[in-house]
Amino acid sequence: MSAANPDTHRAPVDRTTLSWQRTVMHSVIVALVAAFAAIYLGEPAVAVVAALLAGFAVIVGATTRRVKRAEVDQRNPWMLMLRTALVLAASGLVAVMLVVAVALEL
Amino acid sequence: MQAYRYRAVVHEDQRRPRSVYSVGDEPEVQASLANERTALSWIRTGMTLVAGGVALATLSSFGEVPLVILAIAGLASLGGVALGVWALVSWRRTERALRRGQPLPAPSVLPWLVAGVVVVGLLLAGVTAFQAIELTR
Repeated sequence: MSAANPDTHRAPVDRTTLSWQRTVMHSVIVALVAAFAAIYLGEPAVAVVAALLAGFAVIVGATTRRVKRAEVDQRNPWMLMLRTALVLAASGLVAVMLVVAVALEL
Repeated sequence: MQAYRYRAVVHEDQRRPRSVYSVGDEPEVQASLANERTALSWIRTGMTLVAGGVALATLSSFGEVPLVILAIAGLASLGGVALGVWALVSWRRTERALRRGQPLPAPSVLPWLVAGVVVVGLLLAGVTAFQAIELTR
């Protein structure tokens, strides 16, 4: 990979795209794990919420307008980042719901 | 490096948030992408904390778990949410600094995260050791 190679500057763009894919996959997996854990612990209400969240995470990942890198005007990750953080916040709240439900049964 | 800098003089920048894109010049694209990846890493770290909280809650299926474990699970989940919010704040601060050509802000949440992980690790090790000693009696 030399400086003269025109593809040299592609690598950070590809790394960023992969980073987005990893993040969306993480969010779906965390929500699914929460759903299965809730079913396993006998908390169907939490399981339904977590499953809905997993579906929402898939939709966010699939439908958000792609971040285009070619033009400066379209290089704007904010909305995608905001939606991903919202999915994370919802996952965290589902986890807290699960913990509270388990604690109430103790 | 200067060759990659771009000044939006052709027309007004419409990107959001306005508090970021209305200041300074377009930074080097590599630096901006690295800032984006760093924010994503923080979001994934938050997701890992939430997953840890769910995993700890699942321990209750093996029998009664000490309340302290559930408290740690709840705090880990809330910590994950806080990291998600911080990722957005940190991305905004760093992008503004890049656009203004200022020094990058320090990751102020990092010492708290490390301290929290160490405390929780020691606490879990203590609870596990205590329960193991109880079992052997």
